[in-house]
Amino acid sequence: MSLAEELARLSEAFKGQIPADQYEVMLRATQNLAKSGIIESALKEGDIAPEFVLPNALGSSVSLSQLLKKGPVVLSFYRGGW
Amino acid sequence: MQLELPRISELGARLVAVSPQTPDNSVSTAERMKLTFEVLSDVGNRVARQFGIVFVLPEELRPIYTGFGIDIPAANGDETFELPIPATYVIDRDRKIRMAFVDADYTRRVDPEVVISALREIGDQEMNEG
Repeated sequence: MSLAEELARLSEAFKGQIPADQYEVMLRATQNLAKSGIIESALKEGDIAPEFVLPNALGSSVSLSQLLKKGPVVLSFYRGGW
Repeated sequence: MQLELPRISELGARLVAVSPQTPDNSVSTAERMKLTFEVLSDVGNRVARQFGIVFVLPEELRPIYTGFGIDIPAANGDETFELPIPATYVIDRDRKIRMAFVDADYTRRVDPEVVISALREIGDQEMNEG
């Protein structure tokens, strides 16, 4: 099973676990977000990524330029561990 | 994406995860000890905003999340309810974005094969440039 198929399966299973009205609210919110123009305005292939400095899990500062000295970076934004 | 770590490392690249959670909430102490990739804390979504991927969680969704036991203000250390949409970028040494995956549907993620193939392309190019 590919990751996309597995996620679709989990998503379908989740649908069965919450009240239908709540599911509707969540679905509508996702659709509104998709229509909001956020995807179009996000940085895309060919753009230059902004330099940044952020603290890591150990409290040390990490910059993009410093990371890139060692090679390409796969930068993954996520909402949270919850 | 964590599952792809061996292949990402093999290609000379680094996996870096970014979330708006405060450093304390980003990873548990146990996890912190065995982390093999960077987990960065982007409090206030400052960096995510520069990538253009920040949205405000709609008010009607907030009680639903609370019902799931998710306390976003506590996790992020602010009351803005701002979150990044899931996004994955492959960035080369010149800071150029070589692959971008951005999706409004939080249940979807980038196909790892697309990430690997972007990294291979960068590797091939660097080899040709000697």
